[in-house]
Amino acid sequence: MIDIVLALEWTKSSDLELTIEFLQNTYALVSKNQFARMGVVLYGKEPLPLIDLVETSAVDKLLGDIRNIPLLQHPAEPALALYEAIEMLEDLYEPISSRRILFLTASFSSKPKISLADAIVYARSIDGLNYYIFTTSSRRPKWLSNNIAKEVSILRKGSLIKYLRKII
Amino acid sequence: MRKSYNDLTPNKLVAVRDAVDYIVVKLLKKTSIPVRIGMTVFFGKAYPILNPTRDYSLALDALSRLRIMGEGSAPGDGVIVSVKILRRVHGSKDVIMITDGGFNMGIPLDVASIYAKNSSVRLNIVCLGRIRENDLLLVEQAVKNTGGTMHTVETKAELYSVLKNTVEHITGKQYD
Repeated sequence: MIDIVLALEWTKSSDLELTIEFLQNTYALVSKNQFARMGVVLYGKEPLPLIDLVETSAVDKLLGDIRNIPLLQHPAEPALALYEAIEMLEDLYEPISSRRILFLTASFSSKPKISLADAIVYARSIDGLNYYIFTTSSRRPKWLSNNIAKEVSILRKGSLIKYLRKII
Repeated sequence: MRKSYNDLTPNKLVAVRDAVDYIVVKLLKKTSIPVRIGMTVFFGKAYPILNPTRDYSLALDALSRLRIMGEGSAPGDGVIVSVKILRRVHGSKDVIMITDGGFNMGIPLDVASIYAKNSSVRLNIVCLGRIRENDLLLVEQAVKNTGGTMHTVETKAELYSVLKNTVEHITGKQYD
């Protein structure tokens, strides 16, 4: 079984169209696998678990409604979203979960107060967890430390599906 | 204005503690339906204080420890923590939130209620006294999103009655 949690920045600073496309593409790939579960966390200044890890059919309805969800408070704290997503994966862990994947999207439009580097160290310590960090901005901000920056991929519209296929 | 015997005395917190105590001891203890009870507190933050359990002595102990824990009011965070402690629970799931409004922190209540809805958790909200118009709109939306109930109480007697009715509604059983 594959467990996938998406932690998506949902603020005025994030590229929402790209974020929604990322969610839709992930869903399109994951829903083909009957042994996959998907969960979604939105975040701004605080994280909002939107839907816990469930069979992908339950996520389908969410996709239609997601544009109606109000934007969350700025500035975004990606570290809190990472912690929230990990908590979801851990709380709802099933012994048959063979792969655990976490996607985090962030605009990195402002320097967060809570250390993302520390959250990443924590993510690395979780058994069997593969995490991927994407930015919806066109470049990595200068304030990102080198060791984090090298782990951040830039989301691009055209190449999303191809990229996701490699991971999932 | 003069307070009557039935106002929320000696203060809202104690009135709530007494009323919930009554629900746990007098109603849930008597029912044959397997009801597990959990508890969350919220102020500017939210914390679980009791994992869902049928051990009502634990519930009473958690209740006895209730106190004013801080300033602010983050009801959305309270909902999120409550839904999270119900994650592994099977069967029908309800949250009874008791609040006096003044919402000013955290994830907005109406937004948090989407998570409750997606987790099949109904929000039943009891407002202590009249709350601000803006807060009321959030409460109404949260209740609407999840198919729960909303009540406003002005006195301790009303609080007992509303909690009793809410528990009856949740468990589908009448209590004498």
